Formats: sequence, structure tokens, C-alpha cells
Amino acid sequence: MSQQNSSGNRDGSAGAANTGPPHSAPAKPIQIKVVLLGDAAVGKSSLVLRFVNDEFQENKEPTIGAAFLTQKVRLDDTVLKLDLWDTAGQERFHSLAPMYYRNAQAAVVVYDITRAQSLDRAKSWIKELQRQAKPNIVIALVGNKLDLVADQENEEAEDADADADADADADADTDAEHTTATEGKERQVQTSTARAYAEESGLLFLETSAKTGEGVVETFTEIAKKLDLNQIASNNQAARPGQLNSGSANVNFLSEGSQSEQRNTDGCAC
Amino acid sequence: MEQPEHQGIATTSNTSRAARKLSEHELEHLEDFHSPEWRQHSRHFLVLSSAGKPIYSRYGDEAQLSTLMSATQAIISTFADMSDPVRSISIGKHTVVFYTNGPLYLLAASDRGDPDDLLRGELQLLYSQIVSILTAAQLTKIFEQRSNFDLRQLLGGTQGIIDQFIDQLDTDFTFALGSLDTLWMRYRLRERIGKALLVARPKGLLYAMVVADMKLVTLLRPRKHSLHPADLHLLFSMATSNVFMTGEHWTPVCFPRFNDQGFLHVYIKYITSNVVLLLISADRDSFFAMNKYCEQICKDLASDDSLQRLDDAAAQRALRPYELGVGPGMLLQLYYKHKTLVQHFGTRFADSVDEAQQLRIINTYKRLRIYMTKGGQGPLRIVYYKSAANTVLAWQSSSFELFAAFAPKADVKSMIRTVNMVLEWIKSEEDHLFVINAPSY
Repeated sequence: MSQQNSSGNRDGSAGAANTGPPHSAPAKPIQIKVVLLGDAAVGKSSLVLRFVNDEFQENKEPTIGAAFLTQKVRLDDTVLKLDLWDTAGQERFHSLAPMYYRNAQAAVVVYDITRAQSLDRAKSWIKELQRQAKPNIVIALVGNKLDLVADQENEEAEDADADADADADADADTDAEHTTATEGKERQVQTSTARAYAEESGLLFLETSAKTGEGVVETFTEIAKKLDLNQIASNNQAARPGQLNSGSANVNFLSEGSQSEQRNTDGCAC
Repeated sequence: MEQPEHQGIATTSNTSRAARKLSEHELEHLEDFHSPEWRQHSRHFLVLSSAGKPIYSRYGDEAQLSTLMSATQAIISTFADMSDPVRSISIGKHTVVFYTNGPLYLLAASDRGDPDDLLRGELQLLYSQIVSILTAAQLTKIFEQRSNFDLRQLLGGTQGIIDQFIDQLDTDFTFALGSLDTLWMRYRLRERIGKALLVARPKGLLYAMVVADMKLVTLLRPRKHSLHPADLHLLFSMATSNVFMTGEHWTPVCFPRFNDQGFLHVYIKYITSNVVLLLISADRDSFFAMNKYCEQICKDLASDDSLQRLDDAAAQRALRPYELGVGPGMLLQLYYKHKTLVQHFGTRFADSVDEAQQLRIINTYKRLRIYMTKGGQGPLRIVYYKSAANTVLAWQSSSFELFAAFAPKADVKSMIRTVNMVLEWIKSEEDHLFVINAPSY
């Protein structure tokens, strides 16, 4: 999967500049709605900024309300336009969350691998999604902040054979500043624990670092692979007859479009 | 639920300060009120619940200040029981002012000779800031249900916004003037932007505003209603936060003077690197209508070079004192408030004025304004103020307020002459200085 429009242009990151299909792909992009949920300060916005603008900010200010960003990606021969809702993790915004996940085709539920409590919060989001979101929603459980524990795991890796994390460790070795920041941080959620929970609940599972970029594009690739794109494409079309450009298709996201889509999913929707 | 951003702080004691590299933000939170750093700050602001629970402190981690919070709570409640609420205390060169509203107790302490009324006004703004995040209805309800509630749970993530607002109180005279700051630009360009707002007004939209660095470019409003400047100050201040620079944002905001019981919904998008579009809607599901409206405005403004010219004007931020038709040297800074329009503009500071002196000048303006309007001698028209650090002239008439800082060598005669020249210039430039024919619907 390759990202398009990832020039880092700030305006380009938002809906306005991303509406037209690229010249190389005459087909209309398939629009996918993705919501990010999780406890405050687990790195939801940082994952989105890494994915959309390929950048990372230290000490980022907490999101207020919700942020909306879009990113086009190519999966094999299909162009997808991901509409990303990056929600604030603070408690006072909880009651607004249904507005963002209620029509989402996918959810990224994020926790911080150095804070066990944040996995509990992720689990309660997942329960809420399974109860109240679309029944066929694709959910990815994502453990973020791998960079904070990479050093320690590097040391462990010298004794035991760690396999999957080898790339991250190599990155971390070259990152001098990183070493200062990681002191005192310990992994509180073991990969195996979270993976077992994810498998049992039928979720995708990845560990990421928004700081190094590890696992970020993969997260969205895995989601795209698991989605039933044909189904979504036909739903999108059925929901928006007569729409000439994909930009204005957005407008129906929360109103008429959603109702039509619900009619179009298989009968057991409620 | 513990606030995550405070977790790292709570587990870090002073002794481990050297053990790891700390960000400036974290360092600040290590201060407690026994530390000399904490005591050295000029202006403190504290918020606590009527039960004495810490809610906010401008400096240090409010949780570390619980003794101070309890003492404050004790002082306020003692006097409240005597049905003669405590308003202020003077301790040496410090003035401590109290303000209570519903379940919140607020305290300001200053060593800059700030008058009580000034600090009380700022505490009222701080209270409004908290209401704009939560609504007064929610505040009342929470504390009715649990008087011991820890409000930081609900304010989580807003420390930065509140800190930024209080810093702006120090550096910007706008909040004290109570009117809207405007961006200087050619009248035709402002009119052009106003027209773009009218083209595709979506259902549900109440207000559309184009703003650069807290300065109004233009706005679209209902014909029979206008939002209170104090409400807009809170919104403009919030919109300067870095968090809004990327992407489009959608968040509930309460406007206390408009309706402190409920939320409106605000769409926030930086349409250029210096200019933000703020759309206020009553409908929380109208994000995509606002998103489409924003696209159309941008497309329209980009069709000629208006968007670029808007960004260029915004990048200038403010006029320089020598651009006010008076030549360089004498005038260091000036604010002019147009009373009828409830708008004002302020110039930049002359290059010779360092940051510390800028703060002193703003502080002098604020104090003079209080003396002129609320002083014992009744309203004053012209005040000339000279100290070792500042030379300031303040002038109020039925149609304007003017505050100007001058080079120390300036005498009264030359100050008056300069100000008269500026007033002439303002008259001729009014169309470009203020938002005169903003569209309404």
C-alpha cells in the first residue's frame, strides 16, 4: 500500500485538497470512515499525524473535541480515501464519541504499552463498539509507544531470540535523543497478553511507534485488507446516487447517507 | 480516573530531577509553593472547589499545592459565614484578590501593584474560560451531586489552553479593553472576504469568522444578534493553540455571555498558515456541512489571489508605530478603541522595547484604565503617567479610548501633538482599520 498526497503540505492533509482522484487512477476512490479511540495521551493524534503528514511532535497538546483528516492510499489497484476521525481521549468528550463511530467502517483503538490502565480503557471502548457500532466494523487494537521500551527489549533480545521487534531495535540504536527520553519507562502490557485478547475478540492487533513510524502504515494496510471493499464501494454508490464529485459526497456522512447505508447492510443490522 | 498527563509528574519527586532530562513543561510542574521559583512569579492564579479541592494553578502542579488550596478555602469560607465575603488582602507588596462564583473559588495574587478591580476582572475571565469548557449547568450539577468532586477529571487536557489564556492576559491589552481586535487590511479585500462568507451559507450556521492571531478579519452574523466580545475573546484565544494547526476540528464550546447552560459547536480550520476560519453552529451533527462550506470559501478566495493577499495581511500581524503617520522614534506602542464599533487595534512595539518592558507597558495600560473608569475621582479624560520605566498617555472621550507608550524623553506637549496626528491618521484610515460593513443575514 502506498500513501498519496503525503507531501507534508499542511493544507493537503485536510479534506479540501484531497478530493479529486489521482490522474493515474481513473476509478473513484473508495471512501472509508475510520475512527480513533482510546484513553487520553496514548498517541492517537500522533499516529494520525505520522500516517497523514509523516511527522511527529514531542509533547503534543491534547486534542480538543475531534480532529478530521483524510489520507488517500493505494491498495493493489484500488485507491482508498480514508476519512480519519481523531477523537479526544478526555472523559468529558466521551458522550460525543457515538457521533464519530456510529457510521465508521473501521476503528483503531489505541493504548499505551507503558500504561496498563490504558489497555483497560481500550477494552471498554471495544465493548462499546461491539455493542453499538456497525456490526461488521473492523477493529484494530494498537499498542503504541514501542520506542519507549525498545532499548530494554533490545537488551533482552541479546539473550533470548526476539524476532518481530528487530527492526524497531535497529531504529532505536541510531536514535541518540531517544535514549534520554526512555529512561524510567517500562512496558506494562506484554505483547502476548494483548495479542491473546485481540485474537479472542476477533480484532486486528499491532504494536506501533508514532515516533519512529514503526507499524503505522501497516495498521491502516491491515485494516484495508480486512475490509470488504466491494461491499463498501457498492454501498457508497447506492447511498449517493447522482453525486458527481466525491468531495460533496462527504456531506451525507452523518445524515441521509448513513441511513441509506444501514439499509444496505445485511438485515441483522440492529 | 487519574489524568494521564499528570501521572508522570505525580511520580516524579524533586530528588529525581537530575536523574532524567525534563521538558520545560515538566520542570514547571515540579515547583511547589515552598520553592523559590514558584514564589518569584509575579502573577499567580489559583482555582479550587468550594470544598477546597485543587482545580488549577498557573504555576506548579496544583495537586502539590493542596495545603495552600485548603488555606484559601478556609479563608473564604470563614468570611462567607459572616455574610461579609472577603474580597482582597494586602500582604507586603502582594495583593491577593478572591472571587467566588457558584461552586468555584478563584484567587489571584500579584506583586505588580495591580488594582483589585483589575485582578477581579481577570478572575471573572478565568471563570468564564472554565464555563466555556464545561457550561455553568454542568458545573452546578456536578458539585450538587458530589461536593467533593475532583474537577480536574473533567478539565483534563485543557491546562494548556488555560495557561495560554492567562499568558495572553499579561501580554495583550485586548481582554481588558473588552472590544474586538481587528486586523489592518485594505477595505476592498476585507469586503471581498466578507462576500465569500455569504455565498454558500449552510443551514445551522450561526456565525462565521475569519481571524488571524486573535484579530478579526471579518465575520458573518445574524442580523439581529451579535456575540459578546468576551465570548469571542475566549474562542479566539483557544484557536491560537497549536493543536488546531493541522486538519479540521469540531468541538463543543460554551459561550457564557450567550448561554452559559449549553454548548454550541465550533468548526476550526487554519485555511492558510496564519488565518483561521471559525464556524459556530447550533447543530452538533453539522460538521460536514461546515466542511463543505469551508471548501467553497477557500475555492472562491483562491479563484483570484484573495487567499494569498489575506495570508500576506495576516503575516504582517499588526502595524508598526511609525506607520501611524507620525514617523519613527517617539511613539513606542499604541492602542485605539473605537467605542461605537466596539473594536480596537493595537500596534506592535517599537524594536527598542524588550519583552520585560512590553509587559510593564501593558500592565500600566491596564492599571490606568481601571483608575480612569473606576477611580475615586470619577471618570478621567486624560492621564499622563511617567515612571522610571514607562511614559504613557491615556485618553478617553465619548467616541474612543487611546493608550500610548512613548520614549522616556517625550514631554507632554510632544506626546499630545503626536497623538493628535495619530487621531487624524485614524480618521482617514478608518475603513482599513476596522470591520465596518461586515455581512449579516
